[in-house]
Amino acid sequence: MNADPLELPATAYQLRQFAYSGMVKIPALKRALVLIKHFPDHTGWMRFVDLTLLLLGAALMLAGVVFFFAYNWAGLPSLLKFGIIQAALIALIATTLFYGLERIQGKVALLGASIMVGVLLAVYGQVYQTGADPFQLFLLWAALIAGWVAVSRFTPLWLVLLVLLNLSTGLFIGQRVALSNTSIMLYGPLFLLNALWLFGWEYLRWRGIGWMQGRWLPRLAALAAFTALSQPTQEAITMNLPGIPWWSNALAPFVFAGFCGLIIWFYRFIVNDLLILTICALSVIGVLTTLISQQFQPGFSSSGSIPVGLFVLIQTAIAVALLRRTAQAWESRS
Amino acid sequence: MMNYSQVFDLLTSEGYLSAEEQDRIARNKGILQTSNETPWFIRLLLGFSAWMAAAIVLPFLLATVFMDSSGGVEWRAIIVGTIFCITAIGIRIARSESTFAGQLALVLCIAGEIMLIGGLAMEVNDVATIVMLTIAIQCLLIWVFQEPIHRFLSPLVIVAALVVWGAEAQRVELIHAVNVVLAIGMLLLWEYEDDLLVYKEFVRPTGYALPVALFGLLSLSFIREAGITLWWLSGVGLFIALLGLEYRLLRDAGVSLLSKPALALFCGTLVLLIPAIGAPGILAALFVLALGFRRNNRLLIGLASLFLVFFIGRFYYDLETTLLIKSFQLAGTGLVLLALRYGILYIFAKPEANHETA
Repeated sequence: MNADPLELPATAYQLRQFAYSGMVKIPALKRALVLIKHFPDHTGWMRFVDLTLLLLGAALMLAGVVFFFAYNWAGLPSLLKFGIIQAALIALIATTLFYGLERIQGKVALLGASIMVGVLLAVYGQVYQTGADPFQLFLLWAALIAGWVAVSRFTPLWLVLLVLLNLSTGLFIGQRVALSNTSIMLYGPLFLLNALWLFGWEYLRWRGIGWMQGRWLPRLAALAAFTALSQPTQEAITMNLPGIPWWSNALAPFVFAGFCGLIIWFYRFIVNDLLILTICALSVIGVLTTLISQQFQPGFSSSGSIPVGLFVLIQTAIAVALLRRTAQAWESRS
Repeated sequence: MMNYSQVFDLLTSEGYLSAEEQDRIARNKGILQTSNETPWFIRLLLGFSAWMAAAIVLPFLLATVFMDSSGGVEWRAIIVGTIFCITAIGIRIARSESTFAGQLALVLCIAGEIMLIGGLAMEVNDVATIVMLTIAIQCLLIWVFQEPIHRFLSPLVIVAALVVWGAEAQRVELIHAVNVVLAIGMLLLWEYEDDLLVYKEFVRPTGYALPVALFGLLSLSFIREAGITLWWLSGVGLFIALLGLEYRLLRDAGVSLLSKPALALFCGTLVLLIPAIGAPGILAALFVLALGFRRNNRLLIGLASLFLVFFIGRFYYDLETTLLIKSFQLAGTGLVLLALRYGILYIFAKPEANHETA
């Protein structure tokens, strides 16, 4: 049985549609927007000011600390360097314990402490000239803060961990993997990391962990995964590297097609996320455009530009139509 | 969360809706199931793909029109460009519901405008005239070409044309007047968003174009070669715009302008002006952030947040002091902001008696 549309939760967009079509006058629209609390009230403003000043203040203080050490590097004795960083670290951890992880102040302090761990490792590497590769620094940093990240229930801290893992993977590939390897070998680990992160996050979210219900981190992971995978896929289409076995060139497009299929199935039927589907569509458009461009060779003096340009528009129109139809299907199901 | 029935019943009881209007809504409730706002990322995909297609097609078109060595290149460009623009307008009017037609029309219009303006530039050879023609073409297209992405781009082109004219006429400092107009325009458009609902096809794209244009112009403050020096003028103008927004906030909240919270707010804004007067980008970002939050507009909030980080970063990067002094300034500013946070929460805290229980 279809629910009465008037029993649906009122949204500002739809109320404005009523006003736009003349069914509701403007004064009534304005009153309706107040009734559904569309605009922030006193509490909302206080929360906004609180969060903005807290995040800005903390970020600037942290930046000040980082710049201080950057300036005083050569002049400070090693013991003092370590002493100051460790004192800051202890102060931040004490702040976290004081406020607790239930409050935003505690979470931001823990984020600051996690950044300070990286500063400490960097100073350690500089003072003792360990000769460690940069990827080892980021990997160790990630390992040391992993426990804090796990207990923090704070998505920005999980983002820091993901960034560190990506940096260490990328630097490892850049330093240790031979450049003559194919693109899939170079970007494959980055793709795997972000794809596993994405589905790991969705699994934990499915298990009902409340603070993981936000969508922006899995969307960033999806964007990173598609970026890492699109590069070798497009290179497999455009480059014919000598001495590279045929299966190596085919691997990236094959993985790309499989990943796209998985993402479409998962985010169309299991978890409704239109943004991730849009990212997938954009990647597919990029890869298919590269494929067509190989045939028509668009350029200044090439009439192949016209069919390639038209192909881009056709792909986009199809993608947008499918995305809109998907959104409507979700709406009618809910 | 209230549903539509509850909202409309309340509106009727408060006298905002008549019984006839409520009946009409009940008869047309089907629009709730058919009309959905297109998410911003789909609009971004549409715009991006149009640009991608234009970037692929345009070099070939320009090469075909401009590189013919026989005479009359300028008029060929003007005629072909005009035909493209008219065709684009026609396609958009005839097939307004089709996504493909909309994108094709956008690409044709972009290509046509570049050829038209390029041809005019080669023919006229006077910057002021070209700028006026560009602005006139954009104003005409805003009116007749019913494409939201183009209506977003046209104000940006107009602002860019004004900047070019200012540079050519050795009047670069006029940019500050443009900044103030952009800020006040933004305030008016978003504050009266609902009063201007019947013009939403113009208002919303322009409402997003103005902050982008403002941030773009303020980014010039980091380019010494631009030769613009009196950035404090933009700072003062943005400060006035921010005061205007605060006035409306206080008025809507029923707070007297002479009350302690109001005076604290105005003084706090004045204190903010002192360091930010040389960095109007920071003031602009805070202004757009506050405006976006007031209108519950996540796109404006996101845009302002990104540029706030950018402008703060560039401000400290460009300071002509040692890294040591910068570190103290950064940490000091951070401490001041945290202290300000405590002060504001204390001054603006609601009395316990009025505090709603959960």
